[in-house]
Amino acid sequence: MNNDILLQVTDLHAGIESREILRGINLTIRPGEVHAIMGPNGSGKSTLSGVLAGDPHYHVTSGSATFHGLDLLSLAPEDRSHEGLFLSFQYPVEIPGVSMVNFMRAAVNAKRKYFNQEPLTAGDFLKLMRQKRAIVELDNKLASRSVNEGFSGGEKKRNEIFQMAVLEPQLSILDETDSGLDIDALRIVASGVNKLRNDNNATIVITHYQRLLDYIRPDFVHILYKGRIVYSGGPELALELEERGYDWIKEQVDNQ
Amino acid sequence: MSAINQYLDLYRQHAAVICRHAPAALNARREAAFRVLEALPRLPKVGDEGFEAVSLEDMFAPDYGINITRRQFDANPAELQGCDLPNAGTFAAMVVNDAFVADDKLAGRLPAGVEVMSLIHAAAKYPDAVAHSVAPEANPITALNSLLLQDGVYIRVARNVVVDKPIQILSTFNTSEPLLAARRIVVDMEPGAQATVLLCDHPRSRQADYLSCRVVEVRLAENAKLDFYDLEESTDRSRRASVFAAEQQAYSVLNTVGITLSTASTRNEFHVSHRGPGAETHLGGMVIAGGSEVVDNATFVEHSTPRCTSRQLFKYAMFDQSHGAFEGLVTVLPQAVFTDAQQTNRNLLASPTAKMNAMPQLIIDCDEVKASHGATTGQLDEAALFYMQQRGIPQAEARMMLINAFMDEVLQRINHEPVRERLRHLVDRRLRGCSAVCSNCSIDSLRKQ
Repeated sequence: MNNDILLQVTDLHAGIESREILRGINLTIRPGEVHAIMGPNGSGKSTLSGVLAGDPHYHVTSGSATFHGLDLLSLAPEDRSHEGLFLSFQYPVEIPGVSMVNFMRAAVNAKRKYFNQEPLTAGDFLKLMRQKRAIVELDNKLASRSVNEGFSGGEKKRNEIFQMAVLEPQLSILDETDSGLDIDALRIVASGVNKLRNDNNATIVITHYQRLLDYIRPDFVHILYKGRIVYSGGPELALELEERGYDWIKEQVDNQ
Repeated sequence: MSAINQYLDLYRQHAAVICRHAPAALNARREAAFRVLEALPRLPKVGDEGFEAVSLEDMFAPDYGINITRRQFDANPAELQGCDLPNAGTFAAMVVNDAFVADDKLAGRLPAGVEVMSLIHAAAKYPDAVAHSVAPEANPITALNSLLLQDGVYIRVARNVVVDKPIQILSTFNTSEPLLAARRIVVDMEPGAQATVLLCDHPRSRQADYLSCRVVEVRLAENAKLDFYDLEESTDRSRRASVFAAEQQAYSVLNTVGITLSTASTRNEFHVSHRGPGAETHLGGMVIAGGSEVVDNATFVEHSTPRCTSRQLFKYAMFDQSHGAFEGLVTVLPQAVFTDAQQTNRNLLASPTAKMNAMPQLIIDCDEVKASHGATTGQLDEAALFYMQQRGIPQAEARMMLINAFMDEVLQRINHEPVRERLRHLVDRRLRGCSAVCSNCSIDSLRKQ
């Protein structure tokens, strides 16, 4: 691990329309780290991932997010992606009529264009697809289909990690990647994520349950409740939550 | 005063001149057409039943010139060489303004049993075929066309002949003065004949206002099969009123795909009736409109014989202040048992000021039928857009990919692969904001002069 800061979120407030959901988030992430963000339903976990990725549904009202020195919140969603931010969606979107191949080619070449590189040749592109598919054991058949259309729940999540492998982000946010996965799919997805980890990238794992953290070991665990990180600790905090549930946290916070 | 009057006056004054330059089979229809128009208080306007976007009254109101003396305009059939579809090649002929123009070599290139000729020539060779029209004569567009028509295109494919290359008719305008051209294209498919016909509507000039008053007549004999593709890529000074009329005998198959990529104002009507059991009708349409373009497709499919199938799919992507309409009518008569009819209209409004009217209708007088219709109008899927942007695809590119994907279902109905790929390319170019005209089409290079 090094001491550079990859993502610095400071007093972030955001919401939908007039409803405030995030009420002052502070978070520091360094390269090589895995952070788990846990919390009861409705605490703001998906809002945080949406705001960081630039989902236009959410409005930031105050605070800042600095991503390797850049003002993240001022960037268009596609530029956040080019700069190395990846969101694995809780509900990957089906896009009928857009083939996986065309989708990935557009994504890869848009990033290359952003960095003033020539588009990949057809041969190099196919080679890249083949290599990255192997990481999550994604069937070649899925590549010729429309994006996520008719994919099973497990295939959709593996497809997310496949895209992550292709785009090689510096910061990956896995939003409830474990939801809807059977144990085999969970293992494949987690092993894909672990293969992609290195000292220069970081991962935020957003999850409701401890289960995924058995496979992707976090360095830090944060508990989000009512739009704030109310508790931070090491991996043992996740185990404690598994045993005791969230009620003790809620009581502590609500009684303050 | 209605726009009709100027055409009635013109006919009253110049009937002899108009008739002198046209065959008897066409002249025989003029009096009846005159009476149809004379009986109308005016041409249909927006708000009249079945007219949700395009006003024929406004379209026909300007004083366009009409070339009743058959003045020859320069036309160079060599221009067609540049328009050959890559990897396919076509049997191509032109309609310049209102006249049929073919390369000398065309007749020699056509396979045995395939004829492409002027309607004047056809009237001498196939007088009965030209005299018998399948177009709805009480229709105002047909009546205006019948009143003024002096020439056209005749295509005939003989019994059991299968034509491998598309027969392409390229229609252009090249006058410096405004012009109304009455155009008619008649297609006769003998029993078991199979062919692909591709119409391309490109005015060569945008120096003047043009109006194409067009009738397409298609007769499909038993077991005949016709793929009919119609591309309109004109200018903001071109208007079109078109009637497509088809009569299908038993077990014939008609597949049409109409694509409007640019126009000032266009109304396309499709009138299809079945004359024998087991016929299949596939009507497809696509509209991409922007600026203040107005595009209207109206379908009239009449099931009057047993076990016929009809499938309609019309999709629109509307930008800026464009206005589109789809008026679809499927009628199932009591004797048309086991009819299977489907009508679908899907529309994307890509701007808050674009407008779409959809009027799907079914009239069913028979119990033993399957019939359905559906129309939806919506915006681009925001969730899909954000998903694509998160992966790094810029918003404009993502929007274009989604619109291309939306239209793909219509393009998939084009059976001839080189034509499909060519039209796919033109649709993509149109969405990228370029002129959609084929990059190697010499008509386009002339247009830009």
